[in-house]
Amino acid sequence: MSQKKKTDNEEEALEGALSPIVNRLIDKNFEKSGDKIASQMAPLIGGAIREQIKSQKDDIVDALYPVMGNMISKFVTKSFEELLNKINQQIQSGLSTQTIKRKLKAKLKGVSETELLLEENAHAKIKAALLIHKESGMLLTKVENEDANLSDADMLASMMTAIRSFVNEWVASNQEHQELGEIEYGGNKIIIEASGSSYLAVIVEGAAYTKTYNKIRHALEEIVLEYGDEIQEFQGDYSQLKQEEIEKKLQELLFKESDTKNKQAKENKTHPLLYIVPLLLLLFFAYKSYESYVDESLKDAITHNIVTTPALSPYAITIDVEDKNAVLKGRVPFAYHKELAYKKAAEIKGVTQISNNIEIIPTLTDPMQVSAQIAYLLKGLNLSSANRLNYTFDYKNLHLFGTIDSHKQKESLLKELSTIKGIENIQDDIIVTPLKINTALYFGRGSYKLSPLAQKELLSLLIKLKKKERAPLLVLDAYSDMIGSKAKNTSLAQKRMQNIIDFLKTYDSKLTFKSYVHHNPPKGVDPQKDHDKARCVTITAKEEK
Amino acid sequence: MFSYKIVLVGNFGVGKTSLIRRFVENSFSEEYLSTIGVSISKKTIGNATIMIWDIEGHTEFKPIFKQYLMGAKGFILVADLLRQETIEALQNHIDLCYAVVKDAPICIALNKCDMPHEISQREIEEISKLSPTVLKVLKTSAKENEAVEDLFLTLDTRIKESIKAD
Ligand SMILES: Nc1nc2c(ncn2[C@@H]2O[C@H](COP(=O)(O)OP(=O)(O)OP(=O)(O)O)[C@@H](O)[C@H]2O)c(=O)[nH]1
Ligand SMILES: [Mg+2]
Repeated sequence: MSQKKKTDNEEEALEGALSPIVNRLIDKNFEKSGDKIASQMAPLIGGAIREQIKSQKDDIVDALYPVMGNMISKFVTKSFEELLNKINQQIQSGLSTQTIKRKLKAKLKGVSETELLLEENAHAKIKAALLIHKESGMLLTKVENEDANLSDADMLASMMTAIRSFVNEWVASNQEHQELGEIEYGGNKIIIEASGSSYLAVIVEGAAYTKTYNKIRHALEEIVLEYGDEIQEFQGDYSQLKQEEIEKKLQELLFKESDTKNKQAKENKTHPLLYIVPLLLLLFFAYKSYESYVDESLKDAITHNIVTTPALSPYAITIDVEDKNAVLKGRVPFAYHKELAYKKAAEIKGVTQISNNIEIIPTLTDPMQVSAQIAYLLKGLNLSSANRLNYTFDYKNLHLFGTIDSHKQKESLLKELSTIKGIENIQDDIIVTPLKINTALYFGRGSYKLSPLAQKELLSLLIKLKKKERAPLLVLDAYSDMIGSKAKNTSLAQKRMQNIIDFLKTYDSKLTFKSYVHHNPPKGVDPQKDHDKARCVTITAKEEK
Repeated sequence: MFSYKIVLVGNFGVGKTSLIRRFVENSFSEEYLSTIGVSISKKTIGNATIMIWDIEGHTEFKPIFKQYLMGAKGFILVADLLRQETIEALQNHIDLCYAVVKDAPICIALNKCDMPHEISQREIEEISKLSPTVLKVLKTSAKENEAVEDLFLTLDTRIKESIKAD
């Protein structure tokens, strides 16, 4: 309850802060007066907005998204300030408005001339679109073409979210401000378009050009504008969500492009024969359309009979009827399903023949899911250590390359991959480059206690060790700051090493150690200047026994 | 129709993946295959679809863990009855969960109870007092299928109540 109140207040504050910008933005058309916008927005950025943006990024993105689309979400992150600073500089350095206009346009649209040309001939096919709750990864709704064969959209949504988290976290820690935009696999692509509290994952076949991206962006804009609040409040209860309406919006994404294309095609196809033998053709068409009407209604009847059979409804089975001959196509996991589909088709009167071309694929797998699964396995490994793994996946054939730091990790990776159904061949070009163990721990003056930092170091050392096939002999070297007596320093060194050994052994009792006490600081450390660095124990590994 | 996310959290090797496998596909394996990153499973109970996130066990803190916890409606924290340090780590895990999703209900599994172990009723009570959000502390065994259903269903019931109340 109190949280709701808080968001209400925040919303008010936000509205107050944002309405001047939003209103101005709506008033002015961006394309027509880019320079004007720049000069209007620049002073605003300097003030309170900047703070708001930092603390309430998601809200801001949602509020502005319908107005300016994804551009805003990029703006709100670092490049927002950068871009505007740049614009400011240009204005100040007295560039002509014309130049700015052009630059802005190019920048905002992100289009190159070649791309515009390519776009003319592009045919990207959107196979499916999933609207996903950003934070939790729950699938809000989805639409798909009959040939999309999404076997488990819930799963895909969660996995995509996990991958997004990986990548975005990685990117964030690397200071480059960009979000995960797309994942590629085979000839397909998953395009990700995010707003504040939801994102769209769109599966596209073939090349995608600016047009496709714009279309996706537009769909998300409309959804956020109309259902943004509901989505933000979504707690898991679908009855609170206007799923069907949102679905309708998404559906447009699937059809629009091809529909307009068909229309164009029809317009161009006014055949001259039509004027020469009109009657003949008319008759022909009448007959054809009667026939196709019969076929069409047979098709509908069969489709209905199949999709209403619960055992068959999860599988995309397509039915074609021509001259009363029905052809069944699709992929199912068991022969049982194939026969059941045949039976259901045969129940319809009027069908003269049925060809059952349904394929039995022992485990129905979606190449995209397979690829997503591989992607996050590898991303996980890459994040957790010095691994540099990469892959290409062309349905069923996986090519792995790059480096990994232990055979053990590689084996467990291959093992996990082997449990992913849908990978048939693995071409393994992974090179194992062993992890180097080389840790230095520092101690306070006269102290042998392990600092929190030292404990953290030891824990990450343990994790590294866990990845090795066989635990190496650990060599401890204790160095001295040369302050105080030799005896005192020796005793301290021994206690320090014992503490380290005890700590490590509570986690892994099988570890073995060898320890050495030195009466000097480590090489290259001047105890006079750097006594903090001199009171140190290093841990290295002896691999070969 | 409901759909929500829960996350299992706990040190490595305590049996998170095993509990999920027991619950989702009613199977168990002695072999230890450490989870890499995150692995997601799905289970339908009545009219609810639960997405179960299994994250790799950890002792050190990585910022990415927070991201995985985000948007969860509940947590299952797992410790290993045979390893005291995994029990001691529970407080940390609770704090982390609380920091990301305030007030989300938590069930705690003290796993591998099929093995000889020593834990007093008092200790169990202490664990249940670690946070007011702790619903239940259960001794579980993924191997012998003990209290696994109870663990997930207790959480499911509470989450459904809270979703409906909203
Ligand atoms: N005896 C017994 N062994 C168990 C039980 N649950 C898990 N194990 C074993 O403990 C080991 C680790 O189990 P996992 O489920 O992989 O542990 P995890 O918490 O997922 O580990 P990470 O993925 O590394 O974080 C495996 O060898 C399991 O067979 C149990 O209830 N009883
Ligand atoms: Mg696991």
